[in-house]
Amino acid sequence: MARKIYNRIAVLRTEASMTRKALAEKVGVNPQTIGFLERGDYNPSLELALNVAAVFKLPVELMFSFRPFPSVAETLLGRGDPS
Amino acid sequence: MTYKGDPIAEKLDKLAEATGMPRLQRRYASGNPIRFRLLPLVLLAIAAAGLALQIAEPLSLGYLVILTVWSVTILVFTLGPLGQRAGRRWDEREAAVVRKGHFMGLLIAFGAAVLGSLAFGMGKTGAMIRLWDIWTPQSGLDWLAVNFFLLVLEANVAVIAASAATPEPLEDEEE
Repeated sequence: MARKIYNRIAVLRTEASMTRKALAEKVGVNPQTIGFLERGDYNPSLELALNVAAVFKLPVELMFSFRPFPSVAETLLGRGDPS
Repeated sequence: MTYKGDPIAEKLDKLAEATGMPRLQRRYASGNPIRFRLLPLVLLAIAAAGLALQIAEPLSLGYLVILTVWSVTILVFTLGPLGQRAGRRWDEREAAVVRKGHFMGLLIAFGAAVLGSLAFGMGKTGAMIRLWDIWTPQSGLDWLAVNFFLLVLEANVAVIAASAATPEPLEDEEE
């Protein structure tokens, strides 16, 4: 059983006012796959993870992690895990 | 969505909706595959019954039962996660689901083919030395039944495995 990979796609996509469809077209997958990624139902390939990170111009390790990301509120209050 | 306005058209529309075909069509058009669970199992059971009928009564219509199940299986296959949607290519997730489904389907069908051919071989050998008499395909129809049974087995197991590997549909599809 593969370990769950957490990601920040939903937050970043909302911040960029980007639809799932638009992101899906940029990275070459179907919009459902983006939804499943956001929901944590699917672990992306390295190629897809790098492509998604490139769309948001972020290093891949800031977008995907084996550990859950802190919420936006926790990050703003400085309680989030900086890693 | 039912038609409003003309009473006759409304009734016809309701009748069409009752068949379930418009719902299937909408589902197919949405690009969301149907995650079949029970129907492939039912089809496998009917196909097994058809093969049993063919074995028990070689002149019966057992092969026709299996051919009919195969026709329904094609529909299930098309509407399920293994069906290629028109104008769309599989992405990496969908391709992985298809590979997983067919791996399981082929594994089970291969196992059945190996065990079946072993049983046929043992049956022929046993019959030669008058030890036992296991059924072996004799006519073309017998072989047709065995062949289509393996196809039905592969396709339905693949659909079950692929359906299990497909997550629940998203709630907010329109985005």
